[in-house]
Amino acid sequence: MVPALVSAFQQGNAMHDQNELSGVIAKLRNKLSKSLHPIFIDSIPGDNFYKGLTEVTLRSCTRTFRLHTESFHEDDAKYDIDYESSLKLLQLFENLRGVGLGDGPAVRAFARAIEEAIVQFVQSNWMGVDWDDRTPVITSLMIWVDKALAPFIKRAVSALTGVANPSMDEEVKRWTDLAVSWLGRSRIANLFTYICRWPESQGAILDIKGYIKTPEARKYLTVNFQQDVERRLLHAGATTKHILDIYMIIIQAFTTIDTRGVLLDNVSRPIRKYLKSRTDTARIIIASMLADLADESIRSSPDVSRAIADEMAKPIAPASDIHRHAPDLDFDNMAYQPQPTDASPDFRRADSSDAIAHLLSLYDKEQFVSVLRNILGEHLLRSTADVHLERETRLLELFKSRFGDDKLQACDVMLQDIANSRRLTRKILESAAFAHTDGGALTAQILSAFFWPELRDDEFRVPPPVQDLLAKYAEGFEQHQNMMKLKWIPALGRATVELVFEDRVVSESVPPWVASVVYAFDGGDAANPVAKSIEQLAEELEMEEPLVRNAVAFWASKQVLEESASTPGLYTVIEVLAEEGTRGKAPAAQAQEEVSAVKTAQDVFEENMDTYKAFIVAMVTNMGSMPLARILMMLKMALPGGFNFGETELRGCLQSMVEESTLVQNGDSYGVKR
Amino acid sequence: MDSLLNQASTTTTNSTMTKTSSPARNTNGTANVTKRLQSELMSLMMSSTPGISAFPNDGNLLLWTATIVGPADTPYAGLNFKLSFDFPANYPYSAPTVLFKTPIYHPNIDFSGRICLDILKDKWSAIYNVQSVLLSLQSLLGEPNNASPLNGQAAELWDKDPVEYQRLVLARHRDLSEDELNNSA
Repeated sequence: MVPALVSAFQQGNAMHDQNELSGVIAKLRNKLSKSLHPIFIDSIPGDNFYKGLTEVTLRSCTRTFRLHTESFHEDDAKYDIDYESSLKLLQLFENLRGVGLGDGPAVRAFARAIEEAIVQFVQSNWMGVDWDDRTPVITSLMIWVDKALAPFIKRAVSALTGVANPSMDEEVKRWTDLAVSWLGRSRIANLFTYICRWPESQGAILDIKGYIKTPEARKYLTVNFQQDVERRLLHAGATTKHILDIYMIIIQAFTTIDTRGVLLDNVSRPIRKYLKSRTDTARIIIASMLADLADESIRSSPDVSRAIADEMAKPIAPASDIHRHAPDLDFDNMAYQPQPTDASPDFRRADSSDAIAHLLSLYDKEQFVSVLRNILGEHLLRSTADVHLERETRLLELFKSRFGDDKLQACDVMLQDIANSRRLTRKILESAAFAHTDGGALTAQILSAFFWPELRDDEFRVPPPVQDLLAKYAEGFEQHQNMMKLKWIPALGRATVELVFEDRVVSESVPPWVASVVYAFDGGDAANPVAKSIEQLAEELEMEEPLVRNAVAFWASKQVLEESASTPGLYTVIEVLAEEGTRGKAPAAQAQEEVSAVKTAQDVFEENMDTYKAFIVAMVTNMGSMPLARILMMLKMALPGGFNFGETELRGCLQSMVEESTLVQNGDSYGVKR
Repeated sequence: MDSLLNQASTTTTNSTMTKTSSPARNTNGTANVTKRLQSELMSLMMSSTPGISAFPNDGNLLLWTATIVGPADTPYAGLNFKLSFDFPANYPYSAPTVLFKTPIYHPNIDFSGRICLDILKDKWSAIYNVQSVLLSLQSLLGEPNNASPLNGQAAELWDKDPVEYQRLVLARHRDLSEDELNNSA
């Protein structure tokens, strides 16, 4: 360095011209700084300088953009910056440039700090989810980058590099993209929480919509959300109702951010798969569709999803036929769009955005229809005379529009049956045979057994007066209906019982067997009450013992019957209620009261077990041993009415056959024992 | 008292049924065959006659595989025989085509398994069903019709040399492997 300086002075001496002198000085200074600045750069540890400058710049940015502020009442305040802090930083940058530290590491440190500042801004209160107005904040983020961040960066860069007015359009665009993607990512990280708080979280969901413009972003969303769902929703602790509720929201939310439905399709796959594996899904869906929202008790029922019931209350959007059947063959469709690129191969375009369609595509038509039949049957049998069947008709129409008329014929007949029975009952009761009796107390429902699901058919004796009424009714029916015969199913009814005691009146609406049991105690008085044992009752009423027990337990809980203290097993009527004491010990046997009118799938399965076993034996005898899946398929085909159970049930059945040593198991294959 | 009643499902003159066309009233030919075969299968399953059994093949109700166990006190005692049933589209108005899949030595059955039995030919009637055909075949094993043999040697030996007959029956018989069973399916 010294020789260089000396030579410069020597040159300076050689020239005497004033003008040239200033030029020389400038040159000299230039040369000096050129030689000096590397010394500065070399003499400071680069890494520490970079880190320190980043830290300082970031702190200054935090103050400049007031990232940690708690007060954000004025809406436009987020675009304002704290000039004092920004000026201090600019001064620092000027000074750095003055000593030649403005390039290289300083610019990099600044860029790094800005990046971090953007992240912090996105996570700050300024960019909080708008829970009240439910509007996205993504626009205001873009404005912030444009109005607040970009000018600041420009000034800082010119302070660092000395370029007066750097053209930074390219960079600003990059900062904007960066800010948007950070916002999108931070929203996606909490997406599941937002979904749970829908619709207040609509703003956050719309922020995501602004983010997912690239395939990568969409992929990021799908993967992350699927992980969240797996972890937080699809576990044994979540009730099916809850999962269905969330699924309904997911459908709504994802249709909002992606109208083509590809994201929804991708995201909902695991949920749908999981829902299918739950046995009560179809039942809850149908039950929710039939639910009456006005009824308070139904709202809190564990079997009714609010979201589905709400959705059903909306008008039905008719699905257009052409689009559904062959979307690609509709040459007049001016709105045609090719399949989105990120769709999975079996993606089907959802032509309507309504959530019900998604739910109904969860299962095969047949499965849904058979569940619908069961639930509708139960529902109709419970319905009282004054219900107008509007909801049921509506649901049926909905199913028809999705599944076609032919599948729902049985349900049609069921509705028709209920309507017809009302008319017929009125007619019969008006006829002469009922003129002198209390016929008004009897209503009957005439069901076409062929179309109804399998019903409870426990036989027992009903009280003689009721028997008389029924006989008369049957007679009237035969006159009106071409001598067709009625077969009564006493187990399905409902009876209103009024019991008059010496000191009180008990009035209950109970199933007929319960009424029959209490009628058997008729005739005694306080001094000489009727006493009967369970076995006696079962014999007298020709009723199965479990039903008798159920009924006796019910009446005991109502303090009508009690087990006699002297002879256990004998029940007597409590004619006069003791003052205290007995009142306290009413057992809580009421829970057993609700016995379903329609047989459950499990009942049906166990009842037909022998048939299934005969089929399976014949199958493997004739065709050699075969795997479970093939047996299942063959059963579905060969059994009249199909085999409406899954592998789990079948496996149980096969196992029991192996234990009975009718079959031998070999891996997954079952064969006949030789 | 509320109560519910039930209309017997067999009353096809039922007013509700006539309003909506019953699914049973499908005039389609194949549907009728399917229905008939399904009910035959059901009754066959329920009756469980010892020594005979039959079941439809995968995905095709018109093709069945049947199994006959040779009746006791005949040369075929204890042997398993597989048969194939091929039902025509107008079943039960024409006879099914029945073949022995298991190789069998018998006066009325040739070496490719074709059977000479009147009720499977000109004497067929719609009142026969899979079960009756199988029972007839089972009794045919014990009482061959040696007047019109497909296998002349067998017809001759049946009366002349029961020991040699028995030997030939056992020599010809071979249980089908799982693969052959599945392939025939």
